[in-house]
Amino acid sequence: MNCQEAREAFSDLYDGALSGPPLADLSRHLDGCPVCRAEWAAFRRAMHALKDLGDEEPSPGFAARVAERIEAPRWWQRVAATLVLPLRVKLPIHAAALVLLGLAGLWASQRSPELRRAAVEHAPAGTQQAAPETAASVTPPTTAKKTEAEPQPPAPSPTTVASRKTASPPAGAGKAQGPLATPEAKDVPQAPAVREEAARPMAAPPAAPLPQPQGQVAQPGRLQSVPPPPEARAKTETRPGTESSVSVMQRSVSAPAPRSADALFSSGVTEFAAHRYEPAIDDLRAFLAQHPDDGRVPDARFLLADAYRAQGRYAEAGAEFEAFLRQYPKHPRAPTALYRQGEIQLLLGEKSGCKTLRDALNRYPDVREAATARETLAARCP
Amino acid sequence: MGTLENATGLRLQQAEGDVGAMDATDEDRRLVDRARTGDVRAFEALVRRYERWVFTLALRMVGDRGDAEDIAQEVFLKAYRGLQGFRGGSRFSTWLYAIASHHCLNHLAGRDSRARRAERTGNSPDGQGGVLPSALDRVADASPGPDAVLERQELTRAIQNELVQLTEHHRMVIILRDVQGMSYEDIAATLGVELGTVRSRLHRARMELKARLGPLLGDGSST
Repeated sequence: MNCQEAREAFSDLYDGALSGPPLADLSRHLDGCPVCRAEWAAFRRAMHALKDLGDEEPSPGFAARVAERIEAPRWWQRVAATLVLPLRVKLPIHAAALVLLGLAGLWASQRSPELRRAAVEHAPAGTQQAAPETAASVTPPTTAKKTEAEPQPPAPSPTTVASRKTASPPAGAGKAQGPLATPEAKDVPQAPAVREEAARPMAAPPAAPLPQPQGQVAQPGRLQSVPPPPEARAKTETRPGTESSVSVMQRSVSAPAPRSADALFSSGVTEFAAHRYEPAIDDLRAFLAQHPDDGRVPDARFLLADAYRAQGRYAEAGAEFEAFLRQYPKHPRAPTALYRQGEIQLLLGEKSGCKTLRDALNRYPDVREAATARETLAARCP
Repeated sequence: MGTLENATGLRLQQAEGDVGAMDATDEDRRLVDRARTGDVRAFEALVRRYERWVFTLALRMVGDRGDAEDIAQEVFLKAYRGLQGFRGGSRFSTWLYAIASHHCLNHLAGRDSRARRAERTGNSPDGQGGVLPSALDRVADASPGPDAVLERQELTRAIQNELVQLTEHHRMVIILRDVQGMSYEDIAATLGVELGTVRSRLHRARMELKARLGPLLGDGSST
């Protein structure tokens, strides 16, 4: 057998598929050829390295997600279901549609100068003053919008004159007060652009992205505001002692939104994978604090402990691994956690680390961590 | 002779694996029968039994966890929708592995064509330069400290990167054999090729991987 033939047989040899004379020939060749012997050793190292890649697990909840996708109706099933909705679903939808239609009609009538003029002219004398107040009391703030782009302002009624006197908007700054303005809106100086955007229904965001005020983060689907024009900017400040509903809305928009469990967990894992342990710790801790009932909590606790360990924060890592083992003794990562805990105890100079590692070896002698633990025990636990 | 010591061990492993496979087959059959009647929970149990296998195959083939998870999901959905056509002539596992293997190969074929298109337009196909390390894989590593963790991570990543340099068919056969531990016969049945094809592809794949991993593993004379 020459070297070429010997190397051609490596694969069969590795699989144990050789026997009889071919195996004996190859054995003799390897015994007498140091080059092929080295090649065979390299072949085996490569195969062992490949084998050591081991199995991988999909993210937690994988099987449940597959089941969800199976159970999710197909598009034609969804269409069919929509056509045969039960009454208990249909009725609220129809009622809501009617209310929306009514509100839209009211809004359209208020925007139409002719209709509004006709309403004022035909209204009984005693109700002309009361009508706007009544409307304001029952109409949600989302209908209080009245844009400065309105080309022809209506003939001033007593109410609109009064509201203009209160607000005194500068020329060109828009008229935020109309017959439907709320009492709060009348009391507060207007920042037309801000008010109009804030009063816009959330379901109807602006068609194009708008510039954000400083410190405010744009988020899709969220209420957005635009910076007021310079001449109106001073008027955006709320008077001392008063707080309009608009300012409350603005404040709520500026507050940071809580992040979802998926976002926090995924960010924690990604940061960890990128060796950015500090943000990983922040994300994982936030995930654990905000979503204590999530199914990924055990994995997050393990990762948190390992992030501390990677940072050299061994005391915190040890405490986390200990808590993990106490709470999830049957978790698939419990063997690793126990070995980790033993190593950390030794790193902290605690003799109990030897006992922990021996305990780990007794309980989980076949896991990958065992070999390292035996070396550690031999070196540090005589 | 010391160099041949693994041969007997492999045969023993295969024998033990066969006994376990018989139990698994019975359980699979029961779950498949229930799933066929629309019992999604039974199919979910099947997914749990095989999710590691399918996901590992996909990950080793494509090298990206996100893609691998998408592929694994699609494989199981295909399997569920095709259950009525599964007659039980072969094991469920073999049938599922065939779906998974072909889905991976199809995905790679599609990705290659996307990559070629991206190359023509000057864009990176996926915006990633390599294989993202898995955090959960990283934490499962055996090592005494962070440095060793990183070292091992680098090696794992390097091996995975070399693995994805093999041709799809060579990669598939070496993963099925040396990562998933399948027999030659099962690989032939899964891929729908002759035993001799499996043997020759496997030999070429192993020799190429050995040459590629040589520098990483400290083999100065690797060829």
